[in-house]
Amino acid sequence: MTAHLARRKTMLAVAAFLVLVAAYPFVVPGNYPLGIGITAGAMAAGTVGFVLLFGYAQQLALGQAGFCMVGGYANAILCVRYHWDPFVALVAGAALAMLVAYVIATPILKLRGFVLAMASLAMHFILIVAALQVPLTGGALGTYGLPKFAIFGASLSNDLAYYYVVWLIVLLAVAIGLNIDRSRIGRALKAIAVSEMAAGSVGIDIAKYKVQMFVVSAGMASVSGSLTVHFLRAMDPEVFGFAYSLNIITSVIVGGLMSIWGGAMGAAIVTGLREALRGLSLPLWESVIMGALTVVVLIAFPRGPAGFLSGLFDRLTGERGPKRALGVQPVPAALKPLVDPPPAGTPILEVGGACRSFGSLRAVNDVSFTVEAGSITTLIGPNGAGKTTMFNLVGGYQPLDRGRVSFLGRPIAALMPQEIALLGIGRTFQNLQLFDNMTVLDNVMCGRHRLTASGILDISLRLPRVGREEAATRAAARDCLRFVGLEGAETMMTSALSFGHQRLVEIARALALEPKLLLMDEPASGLNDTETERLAELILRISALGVSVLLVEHDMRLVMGLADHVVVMHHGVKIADGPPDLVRADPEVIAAYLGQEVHERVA
Amino acid sequence: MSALLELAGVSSGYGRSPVLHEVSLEVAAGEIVALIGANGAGKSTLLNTIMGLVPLSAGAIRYDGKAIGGLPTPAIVRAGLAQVPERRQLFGAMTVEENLRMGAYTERDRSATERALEEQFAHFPVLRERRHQLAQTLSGGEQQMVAIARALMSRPRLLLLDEPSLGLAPLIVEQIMKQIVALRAAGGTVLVVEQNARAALDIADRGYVLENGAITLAGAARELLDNAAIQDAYLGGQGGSSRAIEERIRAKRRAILGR
Amino acid sequence: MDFLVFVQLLLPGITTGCVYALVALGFVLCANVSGVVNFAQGEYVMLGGMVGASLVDLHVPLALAIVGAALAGALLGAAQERLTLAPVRRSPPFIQITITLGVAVVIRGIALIAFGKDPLSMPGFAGDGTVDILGAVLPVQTLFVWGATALLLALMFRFLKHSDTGRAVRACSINLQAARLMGVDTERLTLVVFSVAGGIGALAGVVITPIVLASWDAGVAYGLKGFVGAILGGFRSPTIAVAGGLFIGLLEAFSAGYVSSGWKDAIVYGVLLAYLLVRGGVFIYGRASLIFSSH
Repeated sequence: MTAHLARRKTMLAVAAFLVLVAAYPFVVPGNYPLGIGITAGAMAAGTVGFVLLFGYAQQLALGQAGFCMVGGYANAILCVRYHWDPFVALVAGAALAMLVAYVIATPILKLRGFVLAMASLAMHFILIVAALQVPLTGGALGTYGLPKFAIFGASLSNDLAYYYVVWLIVLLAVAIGLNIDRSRIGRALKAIAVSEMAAGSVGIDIAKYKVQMFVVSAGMASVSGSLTVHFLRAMDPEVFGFAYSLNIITSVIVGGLMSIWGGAMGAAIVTGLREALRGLSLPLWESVIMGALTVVVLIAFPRGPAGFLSGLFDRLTGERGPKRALGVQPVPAALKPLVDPPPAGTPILEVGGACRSFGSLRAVNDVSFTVEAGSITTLIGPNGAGKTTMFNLVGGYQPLDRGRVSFLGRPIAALMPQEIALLGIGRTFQNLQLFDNMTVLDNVMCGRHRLTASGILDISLRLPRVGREEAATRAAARDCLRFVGLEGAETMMTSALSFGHQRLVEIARALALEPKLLLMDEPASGLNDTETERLAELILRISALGVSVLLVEHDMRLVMGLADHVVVMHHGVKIADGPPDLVRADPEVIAAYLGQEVHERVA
Repeated sequence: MSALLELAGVSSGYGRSPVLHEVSLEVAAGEIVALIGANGAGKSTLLNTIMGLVPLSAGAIRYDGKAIGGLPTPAIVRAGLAQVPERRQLFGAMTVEENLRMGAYTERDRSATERALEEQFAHFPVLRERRHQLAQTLSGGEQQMVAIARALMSRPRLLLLDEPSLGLAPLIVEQIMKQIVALRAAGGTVLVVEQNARAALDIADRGYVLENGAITLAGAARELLDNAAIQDAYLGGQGGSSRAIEERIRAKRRAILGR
Repeated sequence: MDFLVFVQLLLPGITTGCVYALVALGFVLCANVSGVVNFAQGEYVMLGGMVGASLVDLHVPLALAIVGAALAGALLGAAQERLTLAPVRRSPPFIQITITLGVAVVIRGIALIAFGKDPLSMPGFAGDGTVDILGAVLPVQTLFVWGATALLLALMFRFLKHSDTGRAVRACSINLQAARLMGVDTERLTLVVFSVAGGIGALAGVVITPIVLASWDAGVAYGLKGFVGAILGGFRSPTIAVAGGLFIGLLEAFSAGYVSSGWKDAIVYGVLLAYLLVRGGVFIYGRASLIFSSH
């Protein structure tokens, strides 16, 4: 989608939002409905944060309602006992929540999936117990008698005014959410959701972004809590209990897991549904219907209503046309050669005495070889030779037991994959690790991650330099796509491409990193003869840019045709190392591939 | 001799990645057929496709005249095929006997299972000794025996072996190959997939060479063994279309890189 | 330390521990065969208690009421698997887990509508008298809880060790692909396992209700505490899961007795948290590695 259309879409959404919010109190007049509107808005302010955490970062931290408690109690205690200004208390509560979140995020986000969900729930329940037992919070009875909300003394005693203020804050939360979605952080999160391996390979610091979303979500949850209690005029441990957590999850799911606008919509829908059930004298049905809604939506409509509307917009503007046939350009464009490549002939990668065992199996046993700058080196060997393990050792996906791996003289064996990417080592994967939840262009833009720097604060506030950096990223990504010959594919989803073209996207993404060394894991796997030859040509052109290439490959045509230097492994040991023609004539290599002569003919 | 197993134009792969391209081959009853090829050629995928673990995207698989492509794995096992997977894939935390009993999972008849168990113990006395030991505590060769015995528990007519020599010392490989020959003598049919071309072709009647997902050579095992084309299949360089492609790549290299 | 106080805490702790142990067992069984950790596991316990109590109220003979409860659990388990999990088998684990959460909420909700807000009680199987064990005074029902748990565990382990289907369940937890190669229909097995887990959970619920009362919202706590037990057992070994469940029962009882009954939940959950954070990272146990190493 072009930037112009995307802006149109957002303006339409904002306009619809403003109209609906403004009109509601007049379309459904009365104090009670207004109260519902306020509650829905207060919840919506937090739901956006939960969408970022659950949907984007895919962290099922079910106990985030605990942060709503932080905000709720902050305002309750500070305003009732210490007579603070409510707005200041709200900010203080959010700051506290974010601080606590920051502290606990790193250990807790090391957990995954169900375990994280349970741990987070456990934390929430502990908080509830604490709230019940500790006198400061007023115990089971809670704190009551909160004043109406006020901003620096200007009291919003009029509920209508409060309603608008609440929904203004929701709009602010949505704005922050959208800014994050459209940024390199948004891309990073989507990447992490699909393939942590590939995200690491382009330098994305997975832990950092998960923590950031955790903290942002905590802050928004706290604001949501503060706003709610000022309407309720009271706070007790039951207000943000397990039932509230469930409502949050339902809101996120009903709104569509990855949709920021959906978060706000979901909160409104869930609140509205609760009220409708109450109105029909069916309050007991709330659980059943919420639960059933969650299940049904997840099975049948994971994108939710916002996603549906978004899809409608796309269809109407012609973005979802029939798949256009994609041909590869006959004469692909050039790319800027590497700035300041290491001098040809010097070692760019040195492996010395590398050892890695799995139990009693010595997968890599004292292997040493060198990759010269500017060359194409291939690593080959029969099945079980240890080449993949060796490759993973270089890439930082496996720890080295003994020996060393150095890149431009610097030891890299102890580094994590994203740190290795930051040094300028790019990687492609044998089984294709594309981010299939993004367009082709977005995938390649992910490759630029290490060369960009906009942080969460800049992005939330949408500072001008963020826009400039995005434009530069987009241009560079386009250049890479043109280089591999996929110019027309930018807006297509990667899953719409043929396998051969998807391989090219992965290569473009790795190139976007401006790597000094490119590690390619069986790039010809799954390609037919024509595609294999084209791949060979592409690798040669990459080498011409000054990029050093290390490839693991089985396809001998590629290996023998491309390589300057071949390293052969067998049973974890290096058995040959030299130019292709020498290696292929080596009797030990031949024996390794064809098998030993069996001692006696058994047939 | 009618074909017990017939593949016609079979293509398959994992997800988006096509591995096999229109593979056709035959295994006649009472034969040992070797399928050899370099790593990554698609050999395991072929066996997994026959067993129904990998979906067929094109072509047909016929066993004893009946189409089995697309059938669920339990049905295929019940029809009389069994696979000894690559790297054994034993249930390490279960005993040898439990592993063997798992092999007879599709057998409804209790007494038949007991008979099969006795047969396998008679065939592999070492396993009787170790019947109550956990499978993961056995040596590599013994584990391979468990894997083969387990597959034989379902009394298959056709046995598929995926790289039985992988990770085993040459002496053990010899023993395993002898076992496979004994199977044929007992009336069974075997399709063995191997990277160790010489060991496999030594015992086979016929062979196929799989390169990059397609069959490039076929013939009597003895002929293939002496054929330099095998070397070509693995390492390239002697002749054929592989060489042509390799030459073209070298030419491009000279043009683009000047070396 | 007063021995009498100790015993008076120990024995009831074992009793609730039995329920947690059975929940833990259910978790482990389902997770190993299907790769999904079933959030609704605790709800089956609640449901069993509710159904049992209601049937007895309707003057259904006790034996039939127990059977009815177990059947309800088993059928619901099967329904959960067929209707909500089978359609999304190819979806990422994240989605599957959230769906089980949704199912848990639905079950809670149905219980609320069908049985009302108030807790239900049930007379003890052999009356509501007490019995003296080692000086502690306990409801007679305690013996039924212990007995039922021991029986269920014995049956379960016999099933896993000696029956063909049980062996297949174990095989799936060790190597799913190889199990398929043996002709194991893993999808049908998932159905079996979910039904069994549902039935066991329901039986646990029926048997504890005369002591603890059944309430529509009790499921979450059972689930979470049973989960702690399963996790301490690494989610692979049914034996350790059971031991874990018993441990949590004891921890809860001793916390309530020696620290404060208000803080007991916090202590149990605190133990869970501490264990997870100290152990940290990825749990790599067989099949369950799918859920634990995903997002």
